[in-house]
Amino acid sequence: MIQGKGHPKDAFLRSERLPHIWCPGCGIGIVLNAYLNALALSGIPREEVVLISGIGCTARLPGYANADSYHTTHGRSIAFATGMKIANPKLHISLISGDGDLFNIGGNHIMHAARRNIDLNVICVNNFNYGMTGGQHGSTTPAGSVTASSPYGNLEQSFNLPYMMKAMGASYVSRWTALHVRQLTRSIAKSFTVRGFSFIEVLSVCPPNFGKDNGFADAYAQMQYFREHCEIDNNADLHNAGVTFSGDRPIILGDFYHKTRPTFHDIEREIIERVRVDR
Amino acid sequence: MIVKGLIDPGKHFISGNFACAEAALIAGCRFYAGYPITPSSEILERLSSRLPMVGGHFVEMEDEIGSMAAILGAANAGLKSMTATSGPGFSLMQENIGLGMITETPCVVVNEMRSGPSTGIPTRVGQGDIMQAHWGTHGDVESISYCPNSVQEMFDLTITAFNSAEKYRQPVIMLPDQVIGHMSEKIVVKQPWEYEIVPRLTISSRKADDKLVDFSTDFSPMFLAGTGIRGNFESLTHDEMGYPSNSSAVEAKMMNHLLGKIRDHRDSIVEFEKYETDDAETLLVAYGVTSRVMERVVREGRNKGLKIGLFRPITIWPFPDREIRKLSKRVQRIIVTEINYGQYSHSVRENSDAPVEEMHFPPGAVPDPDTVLKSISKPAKQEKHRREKGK
Amino acid sequence: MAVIGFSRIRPMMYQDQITRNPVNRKHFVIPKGTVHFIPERCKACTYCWHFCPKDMLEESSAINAMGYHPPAVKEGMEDSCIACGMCETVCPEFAIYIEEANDRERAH
Repeated sequence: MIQGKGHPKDAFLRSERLPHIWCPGCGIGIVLNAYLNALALSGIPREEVVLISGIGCTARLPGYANADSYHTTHGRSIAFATGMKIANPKLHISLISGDGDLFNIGGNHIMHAARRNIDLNVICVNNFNYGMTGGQHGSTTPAGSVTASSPYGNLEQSFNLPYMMKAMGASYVSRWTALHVRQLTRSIAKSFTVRGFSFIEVLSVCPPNFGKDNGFADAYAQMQYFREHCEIDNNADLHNAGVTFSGDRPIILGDFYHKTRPTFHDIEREIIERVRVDR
Repeated sequence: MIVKGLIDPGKHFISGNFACAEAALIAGCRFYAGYPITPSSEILERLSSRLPMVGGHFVEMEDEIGSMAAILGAANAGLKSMTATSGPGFSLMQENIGLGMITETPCVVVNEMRSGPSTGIPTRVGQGDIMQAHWGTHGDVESISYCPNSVQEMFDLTITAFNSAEKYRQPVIMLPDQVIGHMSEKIVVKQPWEYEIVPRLTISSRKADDKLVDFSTDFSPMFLAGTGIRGNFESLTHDEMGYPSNSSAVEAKMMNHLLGKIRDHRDSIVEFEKYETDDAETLLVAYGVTSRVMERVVREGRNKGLKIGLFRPITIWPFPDREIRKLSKRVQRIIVTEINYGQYSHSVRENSDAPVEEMHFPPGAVPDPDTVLKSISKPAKQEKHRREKGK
Repeated sequence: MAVIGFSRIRPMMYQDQITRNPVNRKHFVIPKGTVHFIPERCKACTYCWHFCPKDMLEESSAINAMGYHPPAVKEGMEDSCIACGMCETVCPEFAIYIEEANDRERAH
């Protein structure tokens, strides 16, 4: 066996903090890897990159990246990022957080940020439950799934995130899994170039919680499900692109939507130039 | 430095809310995020028109939670930022006020007090957020809260609040009540160079092993997003590198720094006003609009021969404890007058050697000085908290 | 030495062309790589050995400080790596990476 001296990504990581806190097989580490790859591909100077997150497992991700990182309060990361981006539109702000953080407690903020078309790159790692608190069900848990707080099966309908974000006014919408790393990397790199609100959903695994409770023996079993049941369709009808683990319907992935419109910052700059008297 | 587009020096007849907005611009505020709420909406409206004129940014957020988070984000991008709200909105902001405290982010929160609990009487005066301004967010914090009692003071204290926010690096709270916000009065605006404006202290460069925050000094510079510092801004208990920690020793060190920077500099923060206290036997304690009423009570009481004085805290927090203690040794009794059912009186009693009485006024109206004077003239009641039953 | 993670996109696009334009095939080579491990970071999620297209990795009998069995190259398969980088991209722990060899074995 060849003992590695240092991982090529170590320069992009706060490597003294590794190994990280995530469970064996957790997809968040893969997303971090893909994000760093995309960052390197995009050529954006790392000084201009800011990572923001809320609370939860995924929200710990920025703390491992060697860039300016902001670990804020639960669900409020989008509002925090909105303030930061408006204050300094030159920053490249990536918001990497979990489904619970962005869509359950932070649902109000994310839909308004998309409506305002704030130029943020939002990456939502969706593990279908609240991982950090022990696997309770949330707004992304597929109906019928067993979780720590839905022992008889989740009785609620789950959100279909790409459909929702397109309707809210996002400029770019895509969905991949933690297994489709190369496509994910390309999507993240593309989202850096999109002017406006871009949204990428990454379906991930939560081996000790959602996975264990829903028939996946280990992390690999759920990844294998993604490998066997995912279908890439960039022109998919998002209305029917909800996620299910029942096995009778494919999980639709793809670069679903890309249409730019003026951002908040474009219009604001125009107004400021028109009315300012301080020069 | 002279910036064009600020309010002209000289005399103005202006409302408290407009004065607050204009003072914010003089103090260097260039970012406002807010949500409309009576009685503070005029600050939001005024700044929506005025901020773009001086190159600043204005955003009307989806709620007060978002507003508070947004001004913290903007402050970390380098702008002086502010939000304004009232009771219910202030309740929503508490979570992120805590974030501002633990991450030492300077900003100003204006909370115009109305009646409560819940929606209460939105359009009328109240002073029910005194305790919330200190103890609203979970965990231990040392609050800096200013309570103006005139439009001129609303103007001046807004600038002071921005300066304190920069100096002590934490959210600073303005606690005017509804009357001060909506009242129009004459104010005098000085020349821009006559105002002391504290600039933001930032880290210009950092090596990988350098500390992000120095817990051993009270005033350490802050790092801004996008300047290549690569800092970790952390809402969890963190060490001097900015990394989270579960250790109780690290927590103690961090909290010692956060609380100590206010406690050790209490004397330079605390402001108060004394009126006819030198030979007073009865000391009134009042703030905000109540203090204007009590000033008249003292004046008229003195005319009737009552030895009565007024102590007005301008900084509600930090509490002027030493001043109260000193006065309490001289006076026979202290009466805390406030438009709520007993909030500030707790802190006054804690720091007083003289007996402390409470005089509560129901929110919704400004107290009547004659009634107050009449009840003060009577001897002290034995039973302080007696509820009138069966009426 | 080419660092795999950062040059991954190119070979992948070429791969598409291979399937579509076999005529071009002689211009392309199958890269060779060496697998490097950082076993103290490994949490034995099994992804690297399950997703390796050459099936050249396996769970080892070694135990790291966290109590996991890190992966190892199967005996006799030391030269099988084609530097596709799958193990590196799918590893959540930054515990495995590939170094692409300079001398490429020319495709037939």
